[in-house]
Parts: sequence; C-alpha cells; structure tokens
Amino acid sequence: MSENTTPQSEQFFLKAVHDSLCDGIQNLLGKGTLDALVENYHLDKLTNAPQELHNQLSQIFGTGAVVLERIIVKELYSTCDLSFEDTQPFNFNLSDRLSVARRQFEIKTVWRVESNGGAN
Amino acid sequence: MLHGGFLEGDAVMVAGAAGSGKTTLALQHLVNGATKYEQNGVYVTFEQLPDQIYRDAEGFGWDLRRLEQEGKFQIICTSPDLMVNKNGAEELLGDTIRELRPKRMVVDSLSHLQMFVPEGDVRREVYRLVMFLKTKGISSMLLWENPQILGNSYSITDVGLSFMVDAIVALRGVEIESSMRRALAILKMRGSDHDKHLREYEITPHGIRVDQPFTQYKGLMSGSPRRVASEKFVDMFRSVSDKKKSAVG
Amino acid sequence: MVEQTSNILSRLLSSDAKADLLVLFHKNPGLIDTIEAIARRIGRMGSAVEAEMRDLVAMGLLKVKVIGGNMVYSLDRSGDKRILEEAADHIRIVK
Repeated sequence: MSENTTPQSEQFFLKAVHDSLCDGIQNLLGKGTLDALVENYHLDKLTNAPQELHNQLSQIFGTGAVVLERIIVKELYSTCDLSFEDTQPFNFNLSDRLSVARRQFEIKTVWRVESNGGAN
Repeated sequence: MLHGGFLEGDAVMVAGAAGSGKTTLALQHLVNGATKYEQNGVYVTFEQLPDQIYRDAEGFGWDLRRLEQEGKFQIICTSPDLMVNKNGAEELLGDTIRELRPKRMVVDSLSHLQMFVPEGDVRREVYRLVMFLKTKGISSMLLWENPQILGNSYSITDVGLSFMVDAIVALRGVEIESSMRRALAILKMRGSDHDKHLREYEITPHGIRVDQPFTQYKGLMSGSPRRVASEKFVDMFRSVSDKKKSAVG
Repeated sequence: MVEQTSNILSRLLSSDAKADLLVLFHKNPGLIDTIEAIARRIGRMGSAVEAEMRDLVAMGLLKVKVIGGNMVYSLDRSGDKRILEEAADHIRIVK
C-alpha cells in the first residue's frame, strides 16, 4: 500500500478486484463455473495473491487462463472507472496488470480528493 | 390522466427531447405490465445495449434480469436497418413473440429507424411495424426523440407520423421562473376520453411520477409561460374594486 | 467425455476476441445483429471476429439466420446453458 492510499480506498480496490474476479468468470463461463471454482478452489480468497491466482487458473484452464485473466482485468478497470488499454497483448501478466491498475486507481483517488479541497 | 389506461392493442407514441424521460416511462410501462397486470413485455432497442438498460433500471429498483429469468420480459438489441427489411419485424421479433407472448412492446426509437430509411419511406416503414404489432395483439409504445427542448414551436414529428398512432404522449421541458420543470400532455387518444391538462411530472428514484396540472401558468407550450392570477385573487381584487366604487359613488 | 469437455473449455478460451464475444452476449443475451455491428460493439473489425463467430455457432453457443440478405447472429440460450453447465461439471469432476 503506497503513502497515497487510504485504508478506505485500499479496501475499495481489493473489493473491486474480488468482484471483478467473480464477474469476469461468470460473464465468460457462467454462474455454474464460478460456483465450482469458488467451492472447489476458493479462488475468491486469492484476490490479494495474484501470482497464486494465476498459478491456480493455469492449473485449471491451461493456456486459456491468460484469456480469462484479461477479462477479469477489463472488469476491474470498468469497476474502478479507469480506461483499459490492451498494451502488450502477447505478454499479458496478471500481477503486473493488477499493479498498474492499483497505481492508476491511487492516482485517480488522490486527484479526486485534491479536487474536492481535501475532503474525503 | 388516461381514464383507465391505454386501450389494448393501441399504438402509443411518446415524444420528447433527449433526457425528458421517455426511456424511463417506457420501462416503467413494461415493468408495471409484467408485475401488476400479468402482461409480458419486450423492449426493442437500437442504440443502448441491454446491459446498460439493466443497470439504469436497477437505479429505479426494477430488476429486469429477474423478470427475464421469470419469462415476463425481454430486451432485444438490434440494428434499425435489419428492422426495415421486408419481413424484418417478423424475422427479428417472431421467435420472442412466440415464446414470451408479450402484450406490451416498446420500440426505442422510431427516430433511429428514420435514419436508415429514405425520406419518403418513413411513413410506410412505421405503418408496417405498427400493423405487424397490432396483428399480433401487442400494445406498442413507440419512442420519438423530439429535438426541440424549449422554445415556441412544438411539432411531434417532422415526417407526419401522428396520424398513424392511436395516442400521443408529449414530454417537454418548460422554463418557469428561471428553473427547468417538466410537463406532460396527452395530445391525442383515439376512442377514449383523457385528461386535457398539461401536468407536471418528475423523474423520481422510483420512476416517473405525474403531479398536478400547471393551473397557475398559461402559454407553457408556446415557450413563454405567464403566471395566471388565481380565481381567489381575482375575486378579492374585484371585491376591493367594487367597495371602492360604491364608496366613491 | 472429460476430454471432450476439456476441449470445450480450451475452445471457449482460445482467443481474446472469442472471450470478448462471449462476455458481450452473456451480458446482452437479447443482442441480434450482423458480424460488423457486433464487432463494433467490442471495438474490433468484422474480419477479426468472423472465424470466432463461426466457431461459436459450430459449438452451439450462437445461432445464425438470414434477414434481408444479412447473416444475423444471436445467443442460443439453451445451447449456451448446456455448454456452460458441462464446463462447470467438468471443473467439479476434475478437482
């Protein structure tokens, strides 16, 4: 967590990652698959461990995991009202993309607070 | 205002500028039909994706996805140029009509259809669509975007569609004492009596709410509203004036 | 059967374009349109998604009909439901 992040915004971001993980899986593969992944693999508990999440998804879906991860990241950008850019489409890395999203979200949150005269 | 509601099978045009609440009114019409009157509904959209409509409806407390799962409602999103083909309406809507058996349908909007039809053919295409829905026993609500937001002229459509529909609901913004207010009027209702007053309406968190008539103003449709003296004030003024006359006399 | 469903999952997740199409139709199940119009909705060209659309039709997730000379695609709700349920069952079994 950087010095610009408040506990509330960090909490919001983690919740956004969790919701995006669930929404991404459901929107792509259906509610049944989401339920199966949560019950059998507890994937919803890995939102703060992107590398482990990637490893689990790779184990389940093989090379298709990256496709799913991109959908999850797109959902996250939409939830956080950020602009998603498909940079490095052939070299997608979940941890890196989540870090970038977190930084962009922090910048946006700080800008918003400063625009409102410091009110939170 | 409608003295019992729209007549079954009628084609109703809802005309208003962007942001006047046409979509909200239309969705409310379908949700009410599905939840209160056991009348399934279909919303046909040419621009907004269904996902966006689901989200907007949630803001008013309407769970459209649940209604879809219950088989009471469906959103169809397509391109206007597909609809204006010879059997376009049947090809696009036929399966949904057979499965859902809707009694209500909204088309959002005729203005989009107009963009894909040669100027002289708009009436024919709208007539074809209206008659198709009537033969299926479906009451239709056809949205029309009126570019006039304010001002002193008011025309419903610039391509003469008014005669083709059975009822016309007009939504209009009016400026009263430097604030924007919203006015609703039933301009036409074939075969039934209706409230002739111009009423104020609001877009609330639960949908459209129609309020009292604008009895204290006249000239709202002209774009130059003027306050009307209330009857009580006129009587008081008359009585004071009469007293003065008799005092002088 | 397990291998068949595993193939289904591989096919569903074979490309970003296909994933975008699936998400679009799952979020908007009432969408009925041409390839070009659908491709525009996900920020792609029609030619870039044509092969993926045909594969989704072949899998039974989408259906196609001709309207006014145009090939028009829509979600096959029962086919989509069946395939996704198979995929979910596979994930439960493989664990």
